Amino acid sequence: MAALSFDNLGMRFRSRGAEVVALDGLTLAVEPGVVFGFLGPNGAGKTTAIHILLGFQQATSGAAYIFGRDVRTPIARQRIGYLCEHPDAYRFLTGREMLRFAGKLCGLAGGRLEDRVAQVLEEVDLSAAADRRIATYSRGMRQRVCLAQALIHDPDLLILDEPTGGLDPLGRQQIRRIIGDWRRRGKTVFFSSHELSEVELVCDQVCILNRGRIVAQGAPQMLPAAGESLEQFFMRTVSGAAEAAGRLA
Amino acid sequence: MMRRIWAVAEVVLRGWLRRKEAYVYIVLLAGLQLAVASLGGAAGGGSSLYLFDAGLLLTWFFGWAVALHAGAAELPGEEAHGTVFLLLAKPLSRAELIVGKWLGAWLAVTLCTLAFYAVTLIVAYSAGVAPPLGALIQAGVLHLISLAVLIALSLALSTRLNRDAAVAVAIVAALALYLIVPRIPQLACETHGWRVGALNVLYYGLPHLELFDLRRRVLHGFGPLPGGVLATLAAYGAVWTGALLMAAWLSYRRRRFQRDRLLE
Repeated sequence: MAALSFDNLGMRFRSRGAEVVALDGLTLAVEPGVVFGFLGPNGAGKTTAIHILLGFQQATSGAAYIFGRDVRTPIARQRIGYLCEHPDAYRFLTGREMLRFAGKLCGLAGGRLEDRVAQVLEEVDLSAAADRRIATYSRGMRQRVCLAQALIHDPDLLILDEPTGGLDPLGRQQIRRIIGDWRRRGKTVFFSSHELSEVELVCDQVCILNRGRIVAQGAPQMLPAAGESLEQFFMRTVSGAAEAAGRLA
Repeated sequence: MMRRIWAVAEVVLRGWLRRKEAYVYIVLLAGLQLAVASLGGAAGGGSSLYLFDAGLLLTWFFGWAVALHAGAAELPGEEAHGTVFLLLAKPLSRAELIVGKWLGAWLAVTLCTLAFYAVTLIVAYSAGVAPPLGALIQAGVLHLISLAVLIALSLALSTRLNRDAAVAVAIVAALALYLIVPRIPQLACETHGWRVGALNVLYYGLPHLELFDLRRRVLHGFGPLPGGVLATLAAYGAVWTGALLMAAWLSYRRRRFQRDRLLE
């Protein structure tokens, strides 16, 4: 069973009188245990697809599944952890309280909850600041506490939307380390990013989305032609798709 | 399900206790009551009951202000800070989120309102007024039930409006319900034809907030209400709270979240 799948997913809406096609028959399956990069230029539909996966928006056609469950049911989210782009946490809570809250929402309680909170704080290197209010955290620390809340219930699928946006090199390295640890434990990571060098480092599979359609998919080492970098391949694919779309129009 | 609702409520309550708004309301009420008391002192004897009346009125409307603010701030606040994305990515249904938010806001408003009553009682006792405690407790209970209705009202409005708009509309709606709805029969007597029917529909179809106001009873020492009447009023408040929370859920369940920085 695929960790996540999109089945002919479509998303259209009207904006200022014009119809916008955010997703156009997106079909994709991500197998368990894979680190999957979801790439595309701004406006390609990556965040829309992720939002549909998490139930923030409803698709206008098609369906999305997490471990075989329709994403429109809250129970489908039991096995996922999510970190959004530019995340923020409740600043009046301490890091530990934030994680306890996230754990309770995922059904953890008692000693198991406390154990997981301590474990995850250690994992994201926030144990020393755990009892400080989040309002006093730096941006990188806030990013890490948000990542920790996504990991609190030991999810099988981790969805990261631009997880390293705005982080310093140290912060990026830490996120890469956590993704690496997650892969070693056989978990699935699905993440969108603009940082192609990072994608090359951590991903087993990637797909490139443009104007709501998949234009390339495969292993990041296999997609580019000989002597071409993933970034060059990305530029060529995306601009080629844009030219083709222009010719059709 | 109850555990998740309680977790959301706990965070709302913690937020209220740690932010400054609640304390500002309490200090403002105490300041106003002291100002009224000093004016009453200057006016001489016989003014103590008026002072207590003013204190109860201030408590009543400060409770409303906090309730409307608390109910309207929660959901738009989650969206503005982006925390709604972290919440809804958890196995938390939107119905649980709404009930949790309502419960947390009501608990926070209850604590605030009890502090308002404490301030009013201290000022009243120091002015030599000894209010009938039985009726006062009933007045407080019904006040808290009316606040539950108002929080549900502003929460329902905040599912479609931003915080400021929701507060403004909720204030107008609450004042209209309190001041105009009880006078609808008088209006109906002065009109005829289909308008009478329309006014009757409004009279019976809108919540009657004035039913929860026992201030006159406390001031004039009429004694407590019979238990059956109190229970009926509590049930009436519970039904309206439930109906408004249902409306909030219907409005929120298919709400699309779009945040410029998250949309690509």
